[in-house]
Amino acid sequence: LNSHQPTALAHINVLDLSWVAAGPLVGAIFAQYGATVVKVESAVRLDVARSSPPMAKAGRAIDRSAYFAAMNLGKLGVAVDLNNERGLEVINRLVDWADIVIEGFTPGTLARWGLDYESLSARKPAIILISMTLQGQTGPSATVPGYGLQVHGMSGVGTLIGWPDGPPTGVTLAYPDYVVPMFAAFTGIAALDHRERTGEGQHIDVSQMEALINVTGTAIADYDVNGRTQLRDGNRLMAGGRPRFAPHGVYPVRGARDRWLAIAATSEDEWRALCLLLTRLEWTFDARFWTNEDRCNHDTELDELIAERTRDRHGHELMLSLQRLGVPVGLALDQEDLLRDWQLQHRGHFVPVAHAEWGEQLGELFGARLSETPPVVQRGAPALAQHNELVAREILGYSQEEFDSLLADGAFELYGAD
Amino acid sequence: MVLNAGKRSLTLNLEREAGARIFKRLVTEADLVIESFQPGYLNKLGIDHEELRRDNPRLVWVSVTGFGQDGPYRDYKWSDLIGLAMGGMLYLWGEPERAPTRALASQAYYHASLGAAVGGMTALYHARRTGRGQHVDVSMQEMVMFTLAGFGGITGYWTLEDRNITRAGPAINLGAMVSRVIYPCEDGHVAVSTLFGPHFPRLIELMKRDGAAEFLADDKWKSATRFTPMPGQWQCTQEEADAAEGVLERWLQRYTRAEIMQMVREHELMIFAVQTVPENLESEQLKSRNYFRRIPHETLGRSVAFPGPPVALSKTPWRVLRRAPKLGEHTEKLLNGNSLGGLSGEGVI
Repeated sequence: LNSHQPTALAHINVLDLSWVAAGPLVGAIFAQYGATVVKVESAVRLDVARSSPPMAKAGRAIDRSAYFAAMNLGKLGVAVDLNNERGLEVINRLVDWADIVIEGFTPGTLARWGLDYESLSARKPAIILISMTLQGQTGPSATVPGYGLQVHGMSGVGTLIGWPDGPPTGVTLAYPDYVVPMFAAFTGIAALDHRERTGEGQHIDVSQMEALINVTGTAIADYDVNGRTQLRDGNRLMAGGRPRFAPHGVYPVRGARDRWLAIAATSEDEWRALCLLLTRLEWTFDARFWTNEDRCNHDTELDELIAERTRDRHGHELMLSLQRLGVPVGLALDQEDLLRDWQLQHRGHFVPVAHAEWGEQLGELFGARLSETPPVVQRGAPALAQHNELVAREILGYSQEEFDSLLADGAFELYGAD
Repeated sequence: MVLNAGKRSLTLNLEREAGARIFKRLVTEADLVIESFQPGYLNKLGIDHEELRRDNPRLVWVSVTGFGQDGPYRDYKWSDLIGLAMGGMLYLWGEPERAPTRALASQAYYHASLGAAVGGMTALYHARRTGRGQHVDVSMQEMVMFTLAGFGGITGYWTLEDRNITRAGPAINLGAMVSRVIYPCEDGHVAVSTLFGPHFPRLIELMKRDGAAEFLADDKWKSATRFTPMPGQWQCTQEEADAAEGVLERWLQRYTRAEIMQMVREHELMIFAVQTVPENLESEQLKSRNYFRRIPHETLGRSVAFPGPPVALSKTPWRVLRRAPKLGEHTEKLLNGNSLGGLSGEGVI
């Protein structure tokens, strides 16, 4: 089932029972490193991601979501009814096949089907179960329902993003859903390594809340040691309650759309090169901006002066020129820019791949490129129930008659009229 | 202190030949090297990972840079702010009519380090099984892109819907719809995910109880959705949704975060208090899971609170073994027997 490119996880089988985003992305990462991943869905209670934009223009309505496709790139897809006795038998055969099971149900739910870690490990001690929840398997809030966006609020990340005089922001996307899966993926592979040496599987209990707090670790220590509550402060880079470098900001550049250039000057050379290129070398002789400390003390004034100079410049041209002089700058790329970006093109970041309903899906590669076993896009995301027969026959070894009977009994499901 | 807990520290001047030599000797016994120099810098010092992997075939060498080891931006300077910008995240953070903003705790660095953890662990696992190490080339730009919505969940707005989504302040932007997430309340903010989710009928009842439901008192609102309607639902417009959000905003401002969380528990609402980072130190949930850890730090004369395990493993639990090292604290111990006295005088260590 796998492509010919050697991959690190080519021998690993993953059963993905999760839905929406955080859980599915863990399986999608494993798929890029070569694992065979079977995503199980319900054809009745559809994965919410299937109705989430952006939407392709072609194909069955339930298969048009590019969001779903991004979360499930490279997987095989089946629809199985877990509440059907024979459906559960299919799932148990998939457990026997799998090295890793991923799930994102409310704690306690899996036990209803006898699929909780205790039951799974009794059946198969080497199994690795990854449970993705908002707040973990235990504790008073373990069963509180919700989505990743709430974790954005609870964790405090939002209070660090935005302007001091404005609301907490950074919720344009459900940020925790895309950061947390990486914690689950690398610990999942660590668990594979442990299993390799001991034969022992384990249960990986992922609390989105706890994983996300991890990426605010410096703010925790700052409060604990210095009593300082860090709060959003525009684009300043703070250290010890003071700006660390100036200029350090985001400035308007010319364009019909909203176009911005990020500038992070951290040395005298970079500062002087910036002044030179903005044809304001006199700033380097200005007492307000003489040293980094002076510039930090006048950073608001400085930001306004720089913005006046960048406003009429072409963003790409300014970026190229400043980078050539060794100044760390970068355009705030929008989605159109990303698709056209020279570097991403050069890295082969975008990978067109066949999608059963749309014709072609534009996949993307994971940003950690392994030289001998690079990430691969094995296939497009599955249409609902697309691989029922393939998984039943080739992976689970059911005969055609058995598969037909499982389908007739509603163990395997199809969607609507098809 | 946070980012280096559990490590030992050795100082070495790689720009001196003797320093590079010591480094290479250490590498012969290493499983993993992690470095984040500008591409080409180490090669100039005669440190070539391909050569080192010939002597130590199991070696996994992880390079973390802004844009990767090759390509037109290979030599570009980078930092957290630059990575956020070029990975497409900066454009989406902040308020619509103002300049985009970063996060005060540097997030792009975390994205790159998480990519390095995933790629590095995968390569290490492969090396343990096959005896063959490899080079892991991590691009911060591409890792930031992953955090936009996985493997292409955002570029689809341009390729499929011919639009760019932009930052929306306290709201989530789904292109055809913008939904408010963060609302002010009496003493701060709360986050509401999917207003028209399964909790919406219960929310309406609570607003009605206070005589604050306004037009939402009409029963039709209980089956409203912004998405493609499922059977029994109706799809409201952006204007109708904005108006409904206004009703909720006015109602929420009557209450404090604690009062709202009480209602959340009683009525299973999908709302959470927006906490500042340190407020989580008092979270009952996190306490019950023994999340935060304290590590003694003798220089400070006290212990320091750390975020605990990001992920709880049942058989091989995450541990923080020791505080972050002082600069060069373990140099002598690690280089034991390498005639240190002479080297330190030569500026190698």
